Amino acid sequence: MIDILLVEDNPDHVILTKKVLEDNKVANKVYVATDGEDAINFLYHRGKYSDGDSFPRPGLILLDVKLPGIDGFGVLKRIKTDPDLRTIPIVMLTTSARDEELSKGYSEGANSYVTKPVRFNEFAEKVRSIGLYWGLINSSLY
Amino acid sequence: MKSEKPKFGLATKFTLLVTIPIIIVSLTLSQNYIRSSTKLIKAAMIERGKSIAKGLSVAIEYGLTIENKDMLRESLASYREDKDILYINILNTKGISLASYGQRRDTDAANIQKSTTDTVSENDLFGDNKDKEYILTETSAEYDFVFDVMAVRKAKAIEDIDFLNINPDTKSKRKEKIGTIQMGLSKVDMINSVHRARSNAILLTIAFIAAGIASTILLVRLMVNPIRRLALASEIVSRGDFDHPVKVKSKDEIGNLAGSFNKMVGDLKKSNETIQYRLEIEKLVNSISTSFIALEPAEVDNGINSALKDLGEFVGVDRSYVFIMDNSKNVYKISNIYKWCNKESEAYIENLEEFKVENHPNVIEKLRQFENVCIPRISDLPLEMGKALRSYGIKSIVMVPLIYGESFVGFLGLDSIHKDKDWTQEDIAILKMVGDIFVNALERKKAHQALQHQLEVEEQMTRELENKTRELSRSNEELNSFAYTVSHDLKAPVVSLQGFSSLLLEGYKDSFDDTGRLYVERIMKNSERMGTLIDDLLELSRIGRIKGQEQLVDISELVSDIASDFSPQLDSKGAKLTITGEMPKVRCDRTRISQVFANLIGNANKFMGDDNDNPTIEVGYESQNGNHLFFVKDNGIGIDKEHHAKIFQIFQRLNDVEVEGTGVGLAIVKKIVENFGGKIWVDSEKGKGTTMYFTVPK
Repeated sequence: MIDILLVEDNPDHVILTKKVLEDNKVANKVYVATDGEDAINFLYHRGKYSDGDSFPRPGLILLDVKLPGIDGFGVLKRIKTDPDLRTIPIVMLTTSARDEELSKGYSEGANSYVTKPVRFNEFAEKVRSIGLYWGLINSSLY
Repeated sequence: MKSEKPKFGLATKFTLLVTIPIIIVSLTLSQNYIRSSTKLIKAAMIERGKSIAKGLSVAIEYGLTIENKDMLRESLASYREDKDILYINILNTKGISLASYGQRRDTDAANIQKSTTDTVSENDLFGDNKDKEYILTETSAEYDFVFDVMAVRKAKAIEDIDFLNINPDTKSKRKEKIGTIQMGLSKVDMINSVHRARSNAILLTIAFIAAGIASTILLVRLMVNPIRRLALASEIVSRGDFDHPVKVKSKDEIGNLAGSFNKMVGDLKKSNETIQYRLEIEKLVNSISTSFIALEPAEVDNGINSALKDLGEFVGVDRSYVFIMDNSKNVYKISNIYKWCNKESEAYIENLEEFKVENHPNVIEKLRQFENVCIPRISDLPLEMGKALRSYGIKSIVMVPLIYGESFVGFLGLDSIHKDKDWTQEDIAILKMVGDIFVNALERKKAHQALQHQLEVEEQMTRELENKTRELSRSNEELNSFAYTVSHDLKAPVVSLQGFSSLLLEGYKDSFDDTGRLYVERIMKNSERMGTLIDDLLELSRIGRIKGQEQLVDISELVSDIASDFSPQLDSKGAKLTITGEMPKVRCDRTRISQVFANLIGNANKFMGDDNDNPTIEVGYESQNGNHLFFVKDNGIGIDKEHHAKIFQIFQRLNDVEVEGTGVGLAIVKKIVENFGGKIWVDSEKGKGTTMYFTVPK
């Protein structure tokens, strides 16, 4: 069971997503960052997240495409260019499947896309496939 | 410029030709004369001798017969006075000298030159033509004759005379030798005569030859000298000097020849001058033409003024000018733009300003008819016509029209102010040629200016276009980000609605009764619908704005894929989808054309109607001139004619059908098709199925 970092600014969407994750026991713990900067701080244990133990490295990041400040792609790029962090799988959350963001995201290194609201089946399927792939690596690391 | 006197020239030829024959003839003649004279003299001599002998023989016939020496001596006496007779010796038949006188002079037998035996014919009294023989011996100094004296035998005495036989017959009158005369004639006289003859001949010959030489010299002078002078003159002319005529005054053929020669030289001179002049013209026109070839359009004006100067100086006029029609096309709006005048006439240059075209309508009219105006003497013009021109103080004027293609552009003219000038064909030709050069240069300048202007306009337009494009791009960008933002921001609450209603339905379904559940379902459904609507609208806005990637799409493959995607919907209606026609491969945005087919097929399926026994959807293709024509045909419920236009509009859904769909689908399809450059239309009737046609340009 992995820890998940959810980067989402819309509180309603946070509730919905967390509910799905909890109901289906996907995650161990779900951490929420409300914007890009917050997410970065979390990952680098900066600011209010300086306590590294309280805020462990997540096994998966759910990243909303649209964020205030640094947008989803900025964060994605940031994470994926960091040699330490880029191994963390990232699933982009988008409101529209037909976004041209798809190609953009994939070229930046996003592992997958999920449309909001997060439907469990769809989500689980994607997480599973990612988890399977990364999980192997994760388990070997751990 | 001395002409070479040829070594074997005419004079020599003549001299030789004349004198040599003369000499030959003279010598031959004199030789013959001498020879024949000598012969004649000789013959005369011999004849003399013979006749002397003959006479003597007759005289001494009697004496010899009777051998009377005294008689014989007496006969000889008369001959002694003849100086030429050197000796005479009369001998009897026995060879004894009976009478003689004188002696041989030349006794040396070695001097004998000739000795002949000849006969002398004698017609004697008795008709007895017996030839007497004589021997002639010639020595250097004398002729020696030996004559036989023959006589008819005479009776020595009377007794012998036969009186009975008076008519002699030959027998009895046979002559017989009675004696010999030896005579010597001196050649001296003869020799003198011969000498005389010879010297005569020589003198004559010399005289003849002298005459010949004299006449030759005269002949030479008469003929050869003039010819030589002609030759010399020809040589002078051949070197290009036409100013030295030949001086020959004689009135004969040579005189004629010289006259013709002089005339010919005169003609040559004239034609040479003409040629030279024409060459000069060519040079001038060429130099003007060449200078204009490389001329920058901006320099054309200077070029024309400079050429006017060259032209004026060449032709020898006081003023040259060009008048050009201005762009207003008003016939009388011609102004002087280019001019030149020579130093003496500088005061007159202002006159040109005063030349108002309106004042000379007849001149202008002529020029506009493309005719030249050529007036060598303005003073000769009839009063009215010349009045205006005279006032300018010009004496002669010539103008040629400037023509470009078919139109009258202006004119080029020359003025002579100080003297009359007879304008020649060459002058007009020059004007025409130079005029053409000017016209071409001016047209080039005009074209260049037009081009410049055009380029400026284009540049301006390009700049504007660039600006507009930038603006458009910017607004497109703005629109993009707006649409993006809008869709995301609009969707966010929709997502929440969907999410919570779903959670509500799942997690709290027991709290609701059927109605409550229904209400929540409706909330969910509508929020879904709203999401789709937002997506569709976003899609609609992106068509055309966002450029997709073009690729070669296999339509039949595409339609098959869509058919399999739709198989649940198709199966639910029991509909069968067929593809007819040879589907092409089209180069286009795959996503878009896929959307078109998907939408149309989806619609066809949706509007099948519930009581359709054999629902079929046919997807077909027809190749047209320049277009691909596709159609999606169903045998569903059909669309009433009055709605055909409406269905492609947003949200215009037909009321009497309870069907899924946002009402944006066909609007999207229409926009996609029109964005391809094609057309979309419907063929349908209520209850009779629907065929949707659309074209894609090839």
